Amino acid sequence: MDLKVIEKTDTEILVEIGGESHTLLNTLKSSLLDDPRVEVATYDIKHPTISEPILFVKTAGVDPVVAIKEASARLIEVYEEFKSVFSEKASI
Amino acid sequence: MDVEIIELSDDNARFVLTGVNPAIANGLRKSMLSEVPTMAIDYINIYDNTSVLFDEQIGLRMGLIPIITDLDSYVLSEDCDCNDEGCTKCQLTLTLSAEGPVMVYSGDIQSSDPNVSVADEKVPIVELKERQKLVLEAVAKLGTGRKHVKYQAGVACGYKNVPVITFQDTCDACGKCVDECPKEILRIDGDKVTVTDPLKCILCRLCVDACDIKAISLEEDDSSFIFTAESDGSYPAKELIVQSADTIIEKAKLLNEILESIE
Amino acid sequence: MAYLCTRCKHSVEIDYEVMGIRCPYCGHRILIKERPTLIKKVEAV
Repeated sequence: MDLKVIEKTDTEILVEIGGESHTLLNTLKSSLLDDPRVEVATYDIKHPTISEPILFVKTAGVDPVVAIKEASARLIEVYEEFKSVFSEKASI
Repeated sequence: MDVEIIELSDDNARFVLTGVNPAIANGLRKSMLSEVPTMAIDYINIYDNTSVLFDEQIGLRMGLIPIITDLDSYVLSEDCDCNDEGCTKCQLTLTLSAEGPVMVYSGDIQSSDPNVSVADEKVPIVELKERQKLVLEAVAKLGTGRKHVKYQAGVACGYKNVPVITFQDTCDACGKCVDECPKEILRIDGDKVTVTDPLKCILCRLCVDACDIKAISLEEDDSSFIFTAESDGSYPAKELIVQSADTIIEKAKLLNEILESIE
Repeated sequence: MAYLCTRCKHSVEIDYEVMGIRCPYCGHRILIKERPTLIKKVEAV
């Protein structure tokens, strides 16, 4: 995964997340939108085979990098919870 | 979040996941299909091939054979310390030699690692007639389903929303929907109709169409998912599901680390 | 490039401009190109 920040202001960020696909980006986007401080969160993969995904986040005041970090932490939490619940149920 | 397991065998799993949003469920499905590292043959060195198949066809057939994946002892070749040169941490060597007349199966492949072998021993490779020979060495590596289908551990992974069938008070228990239902999950219970097993519903809406007084409504629960996961044998189904969640966690952690460093 | 005659099993060098595709030892016209002894690497795709 290599990140390239294309544009960044205090409330907006446009970042290319190289080597990733819808798997991470779509879940990350939905996690970002769960945050009430995030106004816009969207991503685009211009061409399915040759392009890298570009994520755009606009927040209401908070640093977008912080918003992404928190969204990603929430994602980790959700899947960790799934893992523990599933493992527990599956081992019975 | 809750998980209810309907069925769990070595290479098959069905479970109901409730209390998550569709993106989380979809991430899990996509991860099972294309992000979980899986062992598969990358290339073969052919010493002798007098069988009826071309070398390239043998190559494809070898590539598609599922191999048991051991993530504790192997790493993805791009993450390996050897810089993709090939070492025992990122590569597994297998050999196959057979002389006709015989049917060559995947079970004839000899692995250099006693802990790792082919997942299914009954995959036919080629039939050798008298005096025909096949001698080759295969090198297996870890990869992800995004690169090639041979690295796809989850072969039939998907989900659908849990159907919610509700009957209005106007229902007169005429029984038309009961006759129509192909899965036979509706039952007349006194003066109303009940659903015996909503998980079996295939959302065909035949019951809704059959009802003359429009007393049935069929909806999908947006936060509950009936998952089906089938493994090709590289992982037990349970491990595949856990591993798919792990893969996303690792990606998210890596993203956080990188964001930390650019700040 | 050496070929193999399917009738007399001789290894045959052909000069097809002079005598066409034909075994110089027995006159048979079916020749096989032999598999090279080197190891062939094939991508499993």
